[in-house]
Amino acid sequence: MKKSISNKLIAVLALGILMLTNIAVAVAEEPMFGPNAKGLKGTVYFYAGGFTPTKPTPDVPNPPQYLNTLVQKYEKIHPEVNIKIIPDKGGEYHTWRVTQLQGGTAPEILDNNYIRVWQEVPKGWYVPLDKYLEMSNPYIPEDMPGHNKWKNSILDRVWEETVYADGNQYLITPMGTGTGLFFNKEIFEELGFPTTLKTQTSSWSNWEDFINSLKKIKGAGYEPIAAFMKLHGWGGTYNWIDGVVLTSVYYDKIPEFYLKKKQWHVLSQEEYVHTILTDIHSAYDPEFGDFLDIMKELQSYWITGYMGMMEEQPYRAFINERAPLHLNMTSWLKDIMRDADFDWGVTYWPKIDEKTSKFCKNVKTSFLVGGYTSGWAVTYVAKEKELVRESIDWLMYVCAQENFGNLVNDALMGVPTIKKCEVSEAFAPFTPILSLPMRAIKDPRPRLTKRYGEEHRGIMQMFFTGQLTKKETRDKLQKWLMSEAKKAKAEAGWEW
Amino acid sequence: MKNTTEGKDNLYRKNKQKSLFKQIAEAKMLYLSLLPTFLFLAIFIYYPTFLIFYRSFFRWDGVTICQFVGLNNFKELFNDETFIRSLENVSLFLIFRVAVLFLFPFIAAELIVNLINKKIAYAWKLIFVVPMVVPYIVMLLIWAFIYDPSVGLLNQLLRAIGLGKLTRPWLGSPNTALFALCFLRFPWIPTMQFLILLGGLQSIPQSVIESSRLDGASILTRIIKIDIPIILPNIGLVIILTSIWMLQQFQMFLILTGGGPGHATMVPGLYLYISTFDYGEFGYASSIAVVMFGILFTLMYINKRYVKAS
Repeated sequence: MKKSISNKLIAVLALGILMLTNIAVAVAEEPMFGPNAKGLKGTVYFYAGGFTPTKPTPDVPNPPQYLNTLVQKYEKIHPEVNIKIIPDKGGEYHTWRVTQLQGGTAPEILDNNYIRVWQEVPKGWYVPLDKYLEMSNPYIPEDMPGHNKWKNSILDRVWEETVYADGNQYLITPMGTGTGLFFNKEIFEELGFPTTLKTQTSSWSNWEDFINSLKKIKGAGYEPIAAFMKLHGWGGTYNWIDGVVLTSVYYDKIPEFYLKKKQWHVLSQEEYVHTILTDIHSAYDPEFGDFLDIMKELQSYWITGYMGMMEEQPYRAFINERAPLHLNMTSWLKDIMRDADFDWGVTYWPKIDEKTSKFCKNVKTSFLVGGYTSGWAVTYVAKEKELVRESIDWLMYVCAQENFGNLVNDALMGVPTIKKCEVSEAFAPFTPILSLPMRAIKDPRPRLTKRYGEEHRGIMQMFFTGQLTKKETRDKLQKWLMSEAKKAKAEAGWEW
Repeated sequence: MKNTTEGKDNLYRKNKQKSLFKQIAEAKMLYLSLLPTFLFLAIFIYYPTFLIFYRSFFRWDGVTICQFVGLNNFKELFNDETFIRSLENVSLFLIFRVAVLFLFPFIAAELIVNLINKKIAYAWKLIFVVPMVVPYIVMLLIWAFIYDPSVGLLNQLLRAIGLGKLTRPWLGSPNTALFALCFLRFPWIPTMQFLILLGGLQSIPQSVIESSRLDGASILTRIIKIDIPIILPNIGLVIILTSIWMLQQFQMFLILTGGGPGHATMVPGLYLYISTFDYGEFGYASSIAVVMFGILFTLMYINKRYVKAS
């Protein structure tokens, strides 16, 4: 009797274990992401940045549309998930984004760049993505990079660039923004300039050569460079050159600026603050003096009134053939292809060498502006609404090679960083540009603090317009460098 | 007449003898009907205003960091060169704009009031009122085009009349940017100011105007000695409203110049906006708001006293 009870008990236990194992296997096999993932439901709000579909207008007859197609296809795969694309907020996007994040009403996924994300991670606004990047992306075919490990689908260089100080990734950066000088080939021919590039990226061998061409262009009655510089917001294309010139004149000193990671990289806010507070870098450096001189000379070749312009005005100056050179980025390719009635090409500013500044004798190349600066972050709102899985799944879908290739070719926003992504020929000139080393010193705003960025530009404008002497400019800039560095250190609590 | 006045006085005396609570209890329905309005005002107007005063004593990023700093924000503010420059800019802007935004609508209103043909007067009124429906942002974009250094209307016009030497990057030069913004919406006949002044002029009894005419007063004498004194409360209102609007103005600066070149067009309203939404320094921005409130309050007080005394 006793034996039969124990046999029965063993049989029941064995059956129970078998059932539990089956359930566990079934659960383990059920994919978290991909077309076969179960239980995905809810509404994911998505701010897509430059990919946001808009209605055609007479001015923009062919705006980005493909994202709508992707949404429709995705919602067929996951009928219980609703992807809502938030309309473009234009120039005030970042103001809107910050208020939404502060108020807890931000979209689950939003467009941002890693420098801003780094500044905002301490506020707890973003979800770290590392554990998802280690997983398989089932929307990518088996023979493509990223199928086994999603992270592998994007260039390693991007991850190295965007990793936050805590070692986590908070952004998926599927494309790089190429910047460059669009040039009017017809005017170049008229002035006797070659229309093919002299180096891999530039029409000029060095800065001196570049300035000589600008002089010739001005002498011929044109306004050489269509660019602009504005206070408030991102501040205009001026920022790009500011960082490139500073990086060039400090080239030999940059390794001294680095704290832990010693290989060439973009200086983090902490590193820049450290250089200021430890007197490694100041506005009184002789290098900084050269920076001021180079910038003052360069701005004299920019279009008239560049300090009081809206973004479209320099673009119009290029399109109307008043300015043969136009400083801009890949996201304007579509407009230029549509509006330019002349043959045009893309070049890049050359390296600054010792002929321009003695501090640049070891500079071998120019430096990249832009790069991997536009990505998608999952916000804490997704976590609060328990929509992280849905948000990640949607991002996996969008970032699969075929989908993203179609998306980027429709919008012509930037060069994909996703491996094996087929892209338009229009991006070809930007591929060598994107392989240049990144400038180590960023735009004035993300370099230190937003306030410093505004003050820096304001003071530079006063210097350019002769309201401040070089000495006064240095005094004012140094004052702001010190006060903002101290403030940033106190807020972040850095100790070295 | 006398009886009625006496009756009112008695009622007032009787009411005065009653306690406040008794008076409220008697008119409870009236007070109850006022309650929602008062609640909305308290929640949406007075509470945020109080909060601004309170937060101006804190270092606050709008989300987490909130540390009491006493008067530090104000100390920093009055040592902040950008803010001082913004005060200088706004003073100039305010004086110019208040002057022209009173003077030109006043001239327009006088001309219309003095038109004999009422149909033509009506048509002119319509012409001055219609711009009110044009969205502000559209107007700003039009002016951005007018001031464009190369293809802008103003420089084109100057070139066409042989004054090419006078062409400037109007918004792109620190010497002209603030004046260019002062000249915005030329010929400066904003609808609200125009209607307030026109209303005042139209309320002057015809008999008064007829008497002045019979006494041989010229139009200018009549305007100075009769019209202006009679519509002084309207003028006061126009001045105070325009001052408030101009001091709080930031959209035109934000869109057209961003405060540049080199802070040449930075004003407190824009600085407040940038400090709040750009720098995330909500406490500091609150202190700017408190200073702006102080300036406006002083202006209103002076105006009220002056108008009352007049």
